[in-house]
Amino acid sequence: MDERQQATPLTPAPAADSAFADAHRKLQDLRTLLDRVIVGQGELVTHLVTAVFAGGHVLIEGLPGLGKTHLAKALAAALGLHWARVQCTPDLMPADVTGAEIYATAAGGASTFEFRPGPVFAQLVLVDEINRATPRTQSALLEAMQERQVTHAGISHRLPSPFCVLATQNPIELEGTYPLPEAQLDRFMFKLTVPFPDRASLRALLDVSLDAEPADTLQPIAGPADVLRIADLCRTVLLGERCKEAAVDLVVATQPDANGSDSGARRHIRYGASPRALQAVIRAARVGAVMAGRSHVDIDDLAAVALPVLRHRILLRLESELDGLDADATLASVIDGWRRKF
Amino acid sequence: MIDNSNVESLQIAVRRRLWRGQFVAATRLGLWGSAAFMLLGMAMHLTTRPVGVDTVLFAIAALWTAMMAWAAMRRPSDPACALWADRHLGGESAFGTLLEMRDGAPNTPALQWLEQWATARVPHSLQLLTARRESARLSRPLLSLLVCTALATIVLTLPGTAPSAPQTLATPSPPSVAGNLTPDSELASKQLASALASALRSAESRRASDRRDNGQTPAAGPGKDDASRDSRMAQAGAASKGDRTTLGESLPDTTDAASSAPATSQESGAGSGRDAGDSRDDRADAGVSRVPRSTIQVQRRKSNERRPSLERQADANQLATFDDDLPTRRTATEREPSALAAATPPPASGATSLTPTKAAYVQAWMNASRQRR
Repeated sequence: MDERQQATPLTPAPAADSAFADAHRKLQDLRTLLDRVIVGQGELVTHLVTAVFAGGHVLIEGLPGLGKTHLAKALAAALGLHWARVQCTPDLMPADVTGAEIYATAAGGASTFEFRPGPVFAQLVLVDEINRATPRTQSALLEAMQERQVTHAGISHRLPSPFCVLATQNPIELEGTYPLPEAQLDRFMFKLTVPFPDRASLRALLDVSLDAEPADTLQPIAGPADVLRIADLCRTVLLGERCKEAAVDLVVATQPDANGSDSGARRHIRYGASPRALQAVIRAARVGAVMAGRSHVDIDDLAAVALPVLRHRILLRLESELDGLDADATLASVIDGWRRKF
Repeated sequence: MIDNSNVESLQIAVRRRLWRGQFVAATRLGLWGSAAFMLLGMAMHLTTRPVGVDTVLFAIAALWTAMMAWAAMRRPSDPACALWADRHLGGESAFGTLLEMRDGAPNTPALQWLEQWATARVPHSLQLLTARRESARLSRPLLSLLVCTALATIVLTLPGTAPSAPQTLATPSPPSVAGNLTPDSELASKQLASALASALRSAESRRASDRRDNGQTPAAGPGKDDASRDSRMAQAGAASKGDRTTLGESLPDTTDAASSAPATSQESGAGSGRDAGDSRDDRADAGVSRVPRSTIQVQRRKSNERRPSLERQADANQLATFDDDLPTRRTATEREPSALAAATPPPASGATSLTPTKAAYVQAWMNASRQRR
């Protein structure tokens, strides 16, 4: 039986009175641990933990050397997850990601084709520089990310649970790259940008990771079962009508043609966020609520995850891009206007 | 189930706070409205019609009643209280969500945790509610009300200063001399005008009979002395005509005799200066009609619009003749047209009493006229 199926039966059992307190404590401990390893990237760590427990995937964008791979390794180590890494190159084939059938000879002499899973069959998959893979290889990840299964030779293979894809891409050196299509971008719950750390963080980084790789020595504070349990608990977080309305308004505000959209969105946005963004906002906000020690969602939870959820789900007008406007600046004004209403 | 008395106490406190805010808002509106009503009452009192203080007070009382009823009916609902607590008292959507989830939702662990969380949050929220100070913003409307009250007290207690509408419609013309006359002086003026008119009428009839007897024509012309006398008489007559016209407008009840006599005299005066010179002394007559100068000017301007230019000229000469401040230099060419003006009896004027000298002049003139008759 699958590990996830053992941990989460179809009808979840009522959580104990201390379930929320325990989940809150575990999330806080995890964040504190990662903050010690990944110096000066507190917001990035919070969003990454949120995405993992919300069952989403994360696209991380940042310059080389900012610790993206290090972050993925530390997260896997802290949660005790089985992780794999795929370094994308233009000659990477889909089978290199999903797996392939090989001709194998059994001990008795019988030879058969058997499926050998690829690196995607891990609980935490680090897809490094995903935009350097060809669209064919990128699309191989689509089914895995959305359906959590891989179909090969007519046979579907379930991916392990929890399952999370951390993809990274470099915003520079775009020659020879294949930008991700919108359909695949929409599969990522968050798109996180890794900022350059400040001076104090750089100084602290020397004390932490000059002579050793802290991620290699991390002791897990939780296991996959804990991840699944907390993820299930997060789905029971209460969501009031006011927050539902606010979430809907947030997504509508990004639509250039919808009634009630933001004026900045009408001026600069060509395509707004999808309904999947609405689901992502709610799921992430629920984890944020548990992380804040609440069993109900607040408007602040929605606002905290609005930007990473929406920034890769909108398309700007060409003239706005030529004017130097980016998605973050546009969404910042949209979110500000939305936040003032609540 | 967890006891939610703390949450309910917070809700009650929030409701009290919000409801009080409604009353404060109603009070603010009432203050502004009261000031506006007072201004409106003052404006009506000064322009349209007199407004009583009790009317304004009644309107203000009605306004305050409506405001208080409006505030009383706007009792904050439970969701509104919960939402306000979520927004302003650090509720983080807990109170609103708890209110929603209480109604029919299963008793899940999340709900239990929410109730625990909200209960633990209540003391902090109550502390925030106590520390929260919001200005009532009543100073400006209150100051406005005080100022308007002071003004209204002054204005509304004045007697009705606004002209009544029928009077305004009936008398569009400027006020006449008679408007300034007291009843006694008006009566005296009428009597005097009647006496003078009858005297002139008798003199005119006597002259007409003389003309018929002597067969003289007015074209024969007067002598030198007569000419000067005629000139003065004509001036006096012209002035009297102007004054009479004004008097006639303001006093429509003047007798027909008084009003018809000047017309007859004017006709004869226009035909012959000598005939006008038969009058005795016109300066005393003109003195009778002397009125404050500014009033006369206004009246003449009014009356001149209806008269031919010759009459206006004679009228001006009359003014110059009896105005002590003006020089009395006058050429012969100026006097001749004045002779065309009628010798009309001195009209009644605003002057309420005659000096003994003037009265003597008038009496002597009347006696002379009677003797000639």
